[in-house]
Amino acid sequence: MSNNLLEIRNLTKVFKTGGLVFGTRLAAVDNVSLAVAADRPAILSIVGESGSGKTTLARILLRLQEPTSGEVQLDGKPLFGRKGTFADTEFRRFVQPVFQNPFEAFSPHKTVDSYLYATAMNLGVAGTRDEATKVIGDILASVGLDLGKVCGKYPHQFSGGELQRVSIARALIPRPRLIIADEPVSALDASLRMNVVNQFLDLKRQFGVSFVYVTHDLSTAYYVSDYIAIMFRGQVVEFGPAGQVLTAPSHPYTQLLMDCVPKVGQKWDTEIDLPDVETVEFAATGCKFASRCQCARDVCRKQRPPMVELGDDRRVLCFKASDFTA
Amino acid sequence: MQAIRDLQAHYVTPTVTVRAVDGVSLDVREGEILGIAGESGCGKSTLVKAMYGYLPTPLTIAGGSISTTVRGPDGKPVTIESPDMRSIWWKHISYIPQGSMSVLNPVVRVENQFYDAVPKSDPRRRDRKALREQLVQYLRELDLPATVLKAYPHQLSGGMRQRVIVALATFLHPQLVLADEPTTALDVVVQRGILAMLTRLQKKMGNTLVIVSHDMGVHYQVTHRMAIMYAGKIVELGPTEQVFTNPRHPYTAMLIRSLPRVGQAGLREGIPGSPPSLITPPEGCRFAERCPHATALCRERVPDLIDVNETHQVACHLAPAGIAGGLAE
Repeated sequence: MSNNLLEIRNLTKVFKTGGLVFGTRLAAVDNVSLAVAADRPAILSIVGESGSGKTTLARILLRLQEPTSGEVQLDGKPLFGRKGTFADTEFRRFVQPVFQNPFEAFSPHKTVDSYLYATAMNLGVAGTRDEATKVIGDILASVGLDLGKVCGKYPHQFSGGELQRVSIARALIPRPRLIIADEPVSALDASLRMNVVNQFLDLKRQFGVSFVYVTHDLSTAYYVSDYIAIMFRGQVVEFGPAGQVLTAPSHPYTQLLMDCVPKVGQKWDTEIDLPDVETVEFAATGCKFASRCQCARDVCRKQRPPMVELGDDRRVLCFKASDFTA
Repeated sequence: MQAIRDLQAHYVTPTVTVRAVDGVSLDVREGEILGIAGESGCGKSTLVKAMYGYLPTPLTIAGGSISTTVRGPDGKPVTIESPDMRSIWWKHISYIPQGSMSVLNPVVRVENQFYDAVPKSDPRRRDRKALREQLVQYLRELDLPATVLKAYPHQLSGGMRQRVIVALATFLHPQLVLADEPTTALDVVVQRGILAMLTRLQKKMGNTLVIVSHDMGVHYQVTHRMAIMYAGKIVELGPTEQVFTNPRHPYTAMLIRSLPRVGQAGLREGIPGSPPSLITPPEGCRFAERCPHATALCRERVPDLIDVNETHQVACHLAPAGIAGGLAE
């Protein structure tokens, strides 16, 4: 198993809400297992709607939140625990984040190049400011920006797409093996999104960086990713190669998602039901999608569905795939 | 329904003037769903604000006119000139603002926000009980549980809040509903639910709906006619099917082509560059800088909206030669 760059095993994060006695528990991430192989760079997309736990998962991978149970390993080394974990600097050289809204990621009172220099100096990439300038210049060039045009500017002087490219460049400075990108294109226009996701493909080829791409946008996920994990109410309900999962979805929820992407060239014809109260779905004892699923049978409402292997690296969390036997 | 003539809507501050809407003429027809598309900063939200007659400082109407025709109490049409539109808000024209996650008052129960929307002159306002019954009935028609009425906005999920806002905006059966990015922050399943709700209501009440969105897929799914805006101007206007199958402006063609689609392999490029400044807009066609087909003429003279056919207009010097048509797949 040591040949996995990222390995997540039975990861669970439970949040408690409400009072001391009558509070409810909500599993934002529920028994999730995923892996990214180390032998070649890959882009793993985590797709789900708001409240599916995808951001919590990303935050755990960035060590911004501790899991309730389960394990996360990077290159065979655990992220959490008492012994043998990553030191902070070492961890930041290995993993870097790109966040949703670049205008919130950078302080409006600081020039953006101060972030680039701070990253280079603090993580030991460069010893002196001159060395740092060289490293930063090279990296900005690789995302299509010019150091002279970035230096001394404040965030508001950039457009959203440019600033997101600066934040990608910042993440690249320590030459990380893995970049965790949490909704990196949601704040951008459709026409600029492609420029950013093309950048990811380019960096994967050029520097061999792997990505965990967290998004709710299925079309860009299909476009960039090698593997895709569909999350629903904290669980990974379907996993597999992106092309196969999205063109021939197996889980009814993935099918629903695909039907709801506003496509050009094919109009919607069927009606749709929305859930009334989402917390009910979180607390469901059986399959969490059962109340909305057209294929649901009694067993789905009572028991947890099994993770069924479909071959070709595909997995689905559904009774339908196992002929309704546990 | 609404006639917009050479509208100039500017943000005026002592130091700069941002010409967010710069010479837009548009007719909103009765009973249609009109889409307004474009990148952020192209003036689409400003246009809708002007259409609603909502002009927060420093937004001002610097030129042109907007006339809104609504059915008066006696059934006869009444024409109202912008910006004196406050008298017809809610009852005849309603507006779903952008970022509607935060438009509900956080300290007032949903129920009371509905009552506040009913004008003081409305006789229904005197009988709370009857009004509440109507309200519950209306929510049932929209498949919303009556329990939302007792809730505060923070107790509702994003999708539910947005559905409440749509219900609120349509409760008095206005003849014109303006929705500014009604589904932008939502995920696809909820987005589809809300678009279905808007179109179902439109069909039932036969009113006019204007939807602003930067998502071309949304326009394809719900609108009858669409206007593409670029840097404060309308560059293309036509029936949605025609715009998608035969775009005549290079910008429209690039916008459609840049969308990745599930099931289609191959690299896709975004549109290079960024829109021009609206403080000092360039001479000539505003898209010329990013247009792969731009000629010397494009950089000199502003193209007018010309007819492609009776229903389809485009503002491009190259349109007669059919340049953009060849760009679409």
